Amino acid sequence: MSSESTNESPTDADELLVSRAQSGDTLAFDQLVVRYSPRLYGMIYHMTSNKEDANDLTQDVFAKAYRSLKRFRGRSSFYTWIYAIGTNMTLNFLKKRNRRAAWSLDNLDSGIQNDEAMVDLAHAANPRHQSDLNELQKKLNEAMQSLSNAHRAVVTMFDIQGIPHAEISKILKISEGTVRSRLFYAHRQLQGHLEEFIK
Amino acid sequence: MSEREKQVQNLIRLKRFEEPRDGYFEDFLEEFRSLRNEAETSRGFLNSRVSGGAGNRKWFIGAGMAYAALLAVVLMWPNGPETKQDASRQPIIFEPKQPVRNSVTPPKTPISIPRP
Repeated sequence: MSSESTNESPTDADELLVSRAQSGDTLAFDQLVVRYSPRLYGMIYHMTSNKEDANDLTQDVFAKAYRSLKRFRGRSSFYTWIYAIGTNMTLNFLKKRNRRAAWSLDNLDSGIQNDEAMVDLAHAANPRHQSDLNELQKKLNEAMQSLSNAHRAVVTMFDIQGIPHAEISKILKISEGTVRSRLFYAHRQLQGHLEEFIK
Repeated sequence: MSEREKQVQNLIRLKRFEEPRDGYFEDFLEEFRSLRNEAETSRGFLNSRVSGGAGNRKWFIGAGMAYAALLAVVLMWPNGPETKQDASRQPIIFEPKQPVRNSVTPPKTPISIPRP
């Protein structure tokens, strides 16, 4: 997922927007939605592997954040706060859903095969398999779905979204050591599923 | 970190290129705005969405109506607990049954057989 890139301090800008939104400025909250919807959607999409679920859940996360904004005291950054809401709601959703039955490769985004960056990275990862991106994408999703929800959450945030360990520990309310051990265990599991793509 | 683990990470990182179509997030914002407008015109919409959506509301309404119907039946029942007591009614007393005796009892006097 594309990450937001601005030169201003995101935390300061967030504080101002949150303060305005808490005073009833809906346009300020809209800017927070613009700022964070790509990342939140990405996290939820990689957790659920379903576009419709990701869309609905991301809407629900912002709806809940909008309702709860008056109670936000700024003890953490807005980014951490809304990510915590997002991960909790997604984990609760996944508990209820029969993951295997609902997950379908048909729901994956199409067009990835034409993405130049994807092709380059796939080539760098393993030139032998660069022509078979469909197979790679299928295997990647199978590998991700084989992880438990808790392990998939840390892999999504760390490996795919590039969130540091310390930030993940705040979002999930677990120690950094637990984040690292979950990542280690998840990587070992993923190796087994992606064996054919590893040199 | 081992070389194999790095390769796994590189492969998983490819997933960041799975992005929604162009213009998706503009539409997402529009959808959010319209939901918020609905919420402001009919209070509690966002609340119901967060707590499970319209499906739950239907269940609550159905359960409420069923409870009201059951309450009405109990109150209108003629022999219900609130009806006036009939003075002519006597309480039913259950008495223990007498033990069953053997119907074949020996005669008190000896049986005399007439001789021819």
